[in-house]
Amino acid sequence: MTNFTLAGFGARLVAQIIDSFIVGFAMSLIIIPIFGIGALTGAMGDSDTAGLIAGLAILPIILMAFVGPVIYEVFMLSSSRQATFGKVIMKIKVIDEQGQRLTLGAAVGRTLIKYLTVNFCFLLWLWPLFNKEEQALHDLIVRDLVIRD
Amino acid sequence: MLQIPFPAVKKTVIVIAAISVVSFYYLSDPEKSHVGFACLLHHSTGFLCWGCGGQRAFHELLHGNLQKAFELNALVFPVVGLLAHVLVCELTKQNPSYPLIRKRRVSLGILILVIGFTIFRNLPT
Repeated sequence: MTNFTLAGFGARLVAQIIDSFIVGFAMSLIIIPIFGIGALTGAMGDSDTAGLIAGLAILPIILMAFVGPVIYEVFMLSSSRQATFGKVIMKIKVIDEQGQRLTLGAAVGRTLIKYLTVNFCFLLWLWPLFNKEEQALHDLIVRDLVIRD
Repeated sequence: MLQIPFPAVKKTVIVIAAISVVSFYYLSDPEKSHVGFACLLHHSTGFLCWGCGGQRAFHELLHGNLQKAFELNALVFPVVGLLAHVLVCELTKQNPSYPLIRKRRVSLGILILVIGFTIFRNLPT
């Protein structure tokens, strides 16, 4: 294993907060126009069409809300950056136990476990505080490390 | 790529996040507003996990209602203490390493405490 410095709990937390804002902003760019069209149509007096647009928009919005953050994280972690934009700003990245970039499968697994555990109980995100490798549950399962870039 | 002074960003974001979370839970009563995280385990099984009632307990704690906070979730006291410790360490140290809570005996003790608390609160009264 090559020499590395672990990212630190604070840097990981801040990277996650930054990513939440990035994903939230991207989602709003998609969601606001859809409801805007619906509201505009409603204002023009066609309430049936407005209702239909709003109704049709809900399914993709729900899908985007869950799938969007996962796709973003999988794509970024398995890219050459090995980090989301939040992690890039905090100068940290994710590596596997051999120090290599995560495979696509590992990135998918890591991301799904991460969102599953936080939805189960957000206290599970405190897990990195309790082990020397600063690994959260998703890191332990996929066997990766978050290190300084 | 974007080059921002790392410690400054980290500290600023942590301070803003901490103030936001405390303000949110002070102003918003999770009992009434239903805003915040819902527990999937409680919804699907009816069992209380170690975190159930934590948000309501934190709200009561911020309003000084210690007994009600304790009744809703007694773990709110050690968790808030831990988070306060983390906050101070992250703001005052360059690379906090948390040697005490990362000792095997301490982390094992915390795990036993959390599991024991979860079993205890689900015992039939």
